[in-house]
Amino acid sequence: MTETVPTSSGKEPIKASELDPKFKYQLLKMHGSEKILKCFQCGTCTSDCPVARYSDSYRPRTLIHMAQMGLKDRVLKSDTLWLCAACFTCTDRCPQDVEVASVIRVFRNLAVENGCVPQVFKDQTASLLESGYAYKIPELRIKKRETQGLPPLPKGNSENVKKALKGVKFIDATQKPAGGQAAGQ
Amino acid sequence: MPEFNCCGLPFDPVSHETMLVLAAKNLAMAEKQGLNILTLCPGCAGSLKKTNKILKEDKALKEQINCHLKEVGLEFKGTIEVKHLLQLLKEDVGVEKIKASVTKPLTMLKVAEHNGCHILRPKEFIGFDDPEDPQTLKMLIEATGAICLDYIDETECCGAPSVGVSDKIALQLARDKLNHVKVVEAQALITICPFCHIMYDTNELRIEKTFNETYGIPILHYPQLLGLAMGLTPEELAFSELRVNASKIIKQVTEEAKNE
Repeated sequence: MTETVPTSSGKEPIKASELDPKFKYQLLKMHGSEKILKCFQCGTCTSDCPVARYSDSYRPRTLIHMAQMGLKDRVLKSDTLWLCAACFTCTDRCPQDVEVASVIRVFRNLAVENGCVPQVFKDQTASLLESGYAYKIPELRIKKRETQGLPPLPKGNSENVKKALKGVKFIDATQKPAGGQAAGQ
Repeated sequence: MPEFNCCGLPFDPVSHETMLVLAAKNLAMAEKQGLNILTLCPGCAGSLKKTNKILKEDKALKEQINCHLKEVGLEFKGTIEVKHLLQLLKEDVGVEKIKASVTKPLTMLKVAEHNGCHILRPKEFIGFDDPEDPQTLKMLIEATGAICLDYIDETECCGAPSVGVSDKIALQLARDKLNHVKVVEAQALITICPFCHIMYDTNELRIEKTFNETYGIPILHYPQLLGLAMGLTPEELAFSELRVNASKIIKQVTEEAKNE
């Protein structure tokens, strides 16, 4: 993973040169974060977040505030961004209908475009392109199913999956030889 | 459907477009056959339902995704619907029919339910139950005769999606749930999501070791509970595959049956 910066404000002083005031307008145009400017920092999302409960640094409210302020780099390079469990409790309870989980998803998608992809997703993508599924069921498990008398599992058509996904930015980037999107960046 | 691929949910964090294409492909394949989709995983149901709704409402996005599907001879039209097993049992089978199929009421069992997140939220896309006070799973458990106990923080997430990034946080979440369930002395935790089931069943012993706790709470998938009530044997219901030993419950159920 690229070097990361702690997201909690107050740990690193903000320099005016870090701010990108156009970031919020970029977000307004993206599917999922159209309502980011409606957030008035009430904190409901963070107080409901099951991950925030056990993490001392993941705060969805803070991430949105930082994005509103223009701290694009800090948001996209943040480690804790990847802790979101996509449980949608924040989205369901936000009084302003900001769709918090979708905003976090947009941040993660942008971080990926900048080259920040946790290993687990790289593994899943490799499995998807090989078998059509994100997770390869171990041979032992498949044999156990047979002994229990269960019908065989369907075989995905990975050729069709690859064909359908051609042109999707993320997938094309993973197919580049290690020189473009370096593996352990 | 033999050519079904991954629903796309695991890829949403890295690429929303990947998820949309994968989900739309599955939807288009089912549409071609004129069939609705029934899923066993709420995560898949959520991803398919969401994609179904989004593409029906956003013409431009639908065009964009259909460009991808054209490559494999498919087209998303938005003519079918997606349901998870729980929704099907409630809406299409009905609680009364389930009650009628019970031959061995599990009245001796006191269990706790765990809905998980994706069967309830976001309400806008899933919408068949109240995310703040979910009733469906409770009703279906009570239909088997078992008593469904209330406990603190019933709608808490199991933490499974975070395991790949920080297993410490995910385990603490799971531990929290098991602690609350232990307090009310539930004999088992009933799940309806395979991911939640794996999270609790696979990690209960690990949590006991890591945090010095004792639970002994078997994690049963709802169909296993219903199966017992319908007279199926524990062997048929794959009880031997459970990592947390459920033999106490099996003993109770079979002894009660003998006494009747």
